[in-house]
Amino acid sequence: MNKYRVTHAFADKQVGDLVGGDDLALTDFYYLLKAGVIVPQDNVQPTPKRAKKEPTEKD
Amino acid sequence: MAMPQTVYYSAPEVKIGAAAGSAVDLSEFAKSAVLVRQADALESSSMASRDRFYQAGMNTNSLTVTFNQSYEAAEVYATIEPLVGTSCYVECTPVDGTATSATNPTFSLTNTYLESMEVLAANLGELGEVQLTFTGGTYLAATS
Repeated sequence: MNKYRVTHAFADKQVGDLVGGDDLALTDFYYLLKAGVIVPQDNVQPTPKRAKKEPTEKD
Repeated sequence: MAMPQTVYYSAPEVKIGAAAGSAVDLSEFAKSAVLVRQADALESSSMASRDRFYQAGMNTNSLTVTFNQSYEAAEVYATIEPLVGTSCYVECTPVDGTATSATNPTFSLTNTYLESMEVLAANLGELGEVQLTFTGGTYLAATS
């Protein structure tokens, strides 16, 4: 089950709480996601790794 | 003249959302909140009396709230704009951060309608505000 982190208090949830997508009514879930009140827990963008340089004929 | 023993210092909790399960706490932005419970007065007078009498008709409840505007995620614009033109849920409690009780009831309107929102209201040298009016819906005063 996907977890979402609460970024702004709503209902009985506080900032930092984790809520399961299945724990919310569908209309509530879409509304909260659209407003940015909940964000996917794994919403952290990893730092892109530097592409490995492929040797060319010039090298 | 005796002073009242307790007076109410305005510090309400204001929550608004698509439904009770998604009511977002916007108390930190609220500048004013007026929730009115109204029962239309239907006149039931007759010629049997010179007094006018009324009985309750339809309920026309409403909430008028003013917020300091904010366009950040999960704040005023982001949470209110999707509700324009929909039936939504609002909730007000007299004292923010205090449990609901008989002396701190939670007033709510379920399926109340938000007709419009000023998405931009800017004046030179002033902080942006937005006033909203939620009309209709089912009134409830919860004490627990």
